[in-house]
Amino acid sequence: MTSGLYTELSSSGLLVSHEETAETPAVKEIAYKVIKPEQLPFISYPYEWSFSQLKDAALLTLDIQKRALAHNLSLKDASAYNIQFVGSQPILIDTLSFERYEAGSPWVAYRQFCQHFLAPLALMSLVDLRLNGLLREYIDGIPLDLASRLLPAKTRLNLGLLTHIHLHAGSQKNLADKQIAPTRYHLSQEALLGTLDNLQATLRGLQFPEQVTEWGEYPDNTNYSRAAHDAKTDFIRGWLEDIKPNRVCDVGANAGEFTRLGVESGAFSVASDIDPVAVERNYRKARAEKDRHLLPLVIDITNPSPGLGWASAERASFLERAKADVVFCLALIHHLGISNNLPFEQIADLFAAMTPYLVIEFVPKRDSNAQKLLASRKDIFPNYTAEGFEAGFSHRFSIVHKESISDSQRTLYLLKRKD
Amino acid sequence: MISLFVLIIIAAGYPYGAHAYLDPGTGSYAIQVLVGVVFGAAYTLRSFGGRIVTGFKQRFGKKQPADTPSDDTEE
Repeated sequence: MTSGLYTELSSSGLLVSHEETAETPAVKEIAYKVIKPEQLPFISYPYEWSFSQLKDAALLTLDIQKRALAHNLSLKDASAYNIQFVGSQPILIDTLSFERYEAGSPWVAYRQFCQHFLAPLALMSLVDLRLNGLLREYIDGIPLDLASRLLPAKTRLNLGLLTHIHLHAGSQKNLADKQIAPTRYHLSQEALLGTLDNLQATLRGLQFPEQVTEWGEYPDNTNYSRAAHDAKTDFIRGWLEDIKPNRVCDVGANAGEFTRLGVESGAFSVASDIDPVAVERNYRKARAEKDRHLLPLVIDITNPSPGLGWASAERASFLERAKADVVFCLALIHHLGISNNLPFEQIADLFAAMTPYLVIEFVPKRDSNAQKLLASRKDIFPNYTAEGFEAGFSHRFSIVHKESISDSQRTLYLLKRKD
Repeated sequence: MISLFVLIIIAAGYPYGAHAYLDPGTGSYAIQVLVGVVFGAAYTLRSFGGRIVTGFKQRFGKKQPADTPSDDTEE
C-alpha cells in the first residue's frame, strides 16, 4: 500500500479496490489484516472467454507486472483466474498477489503466465478457436509440451513462440527431475523487462483467426424482416420497463443485439452464446463502447461449464452463477427441442432454476430456420407445437404476455415462474 | 470466492524460492535466464538506442551552428 502501487492501479480501474475491516480473522495468530474487496457483478472463467477477452486479460497482467516492478514489487502468480471482467473491462482481483521484487531474481510466475495465457491464445489463433476448451481440462493452464506439439512447425520461426513455448517446454522436460536452488539463477531487471516486452509483442502479434463458424455471420443472415425485428424489440423493451431487472441473462445471445435491451433497462447483462466468433464480435463492440454492464461469454447451454477443480467446486458451474431476474431464450427453442431432442418440461425446469421471468420465443416447425433443422432427419417431434410448448412449460411457468411477431411465424412470450 | 467478503493478508516477505507461493519450475527459471540475455540486450538497446542514434547524429551529422559535443552518459 505504501509503495503507491495500490493507488495507481485501483484508481485506473486495473485492480479491485478494497477496504480494511474490523472483522475477526479466522486464524488470529498469522493474520495481518482482513480486507473486503469491492464486489463484482458476475464471475466468469477463462474457458468461457472469447479470444480477445483472454488476450486483453493477458496484456493487463503484463501491464500490471511492469507497473509493479516500477514500484519494486512483482506479481507472485499470473493465473488467468486472477482476472475478472466487469462487463467488457478486465480487472485484477488478486490484491494479495504482490510481493517485494528481489533484484536479480527471475519471474516466479513466468511458467504460469505462459500456460494460462500464451499457450491457449497461440493455439486459438494458429490452430483452432475451439482449443480454448483445453482450459477446462487443464485448470492450471495448458501444459507447454502439449501446446508445443499442437502448434504448427512454422511457429518455431517466431522468436516469442520459439522461446516461451517450444524451448520452454524442452527446458521443463530436461530439468524435470533436477532441483537447482533458485538462488543460483540470476536475471537482471533489464532482462526481465525485455522478456515482458517480448511477451507483450508476441501476444499482440497473435491475431483472431479467419475461421468460419455456424453462427458467426448470423446477425447479417437472419430470417427476420425489419418489421419483425422492430416488433420483437418493442415488446421486450416494454416488458423490461415493467420488470426493472437488476440482472439479465441472454441465452443464445449471438452478438448481443437483444442483450443490449437489458443493458438499456439498467440491468447487468450476460450475453452467452455457443459460437466463439459471435461472442468475439459482441465483446469487441462492448469493449469499444467501454460497456461495464454487458458481459459476453462462450457457453453451450446444452453443455454449460461444469464445476471444476478440487471437489468439483473450485470453479462454480455456469448454472450456479447464472441466476438472473430475467432470462432471454430468443430464437433458440427449436435448437433445444428439435436438434437436442429435449422435452419442453425439461427445458422449463432448467430456466425455472435460473430465473423468475423468462422471455422466450416459440419457433414453430413451419418457420424457415426450423425447417432447416428437420431437413436431414425424421420428424419425431409430434409434441413440438405451440400447444405442446405452452403445456410443457405450464407446470413451472404461467403466461404473462403472449404476442405474435408481425411478419414472422414466431410468437414471443413473457413467462413468470410459479412459486 | 468474491462472494466471501473476508480475506486475510499474510504479511508479504517470504524469501523467494525457498517458500514460493507458486512452483516456478526449474526448467522455467533456466529458460528465463537463458533467453533473458537476448531480451535484456534488446531492451537495453531500445532504451538507450535513441541516445546512441542522437549521439551518432551529433558526431557525424551535418555541422549545426550551435554544435554541442554529444554527452556520453554512463550506462
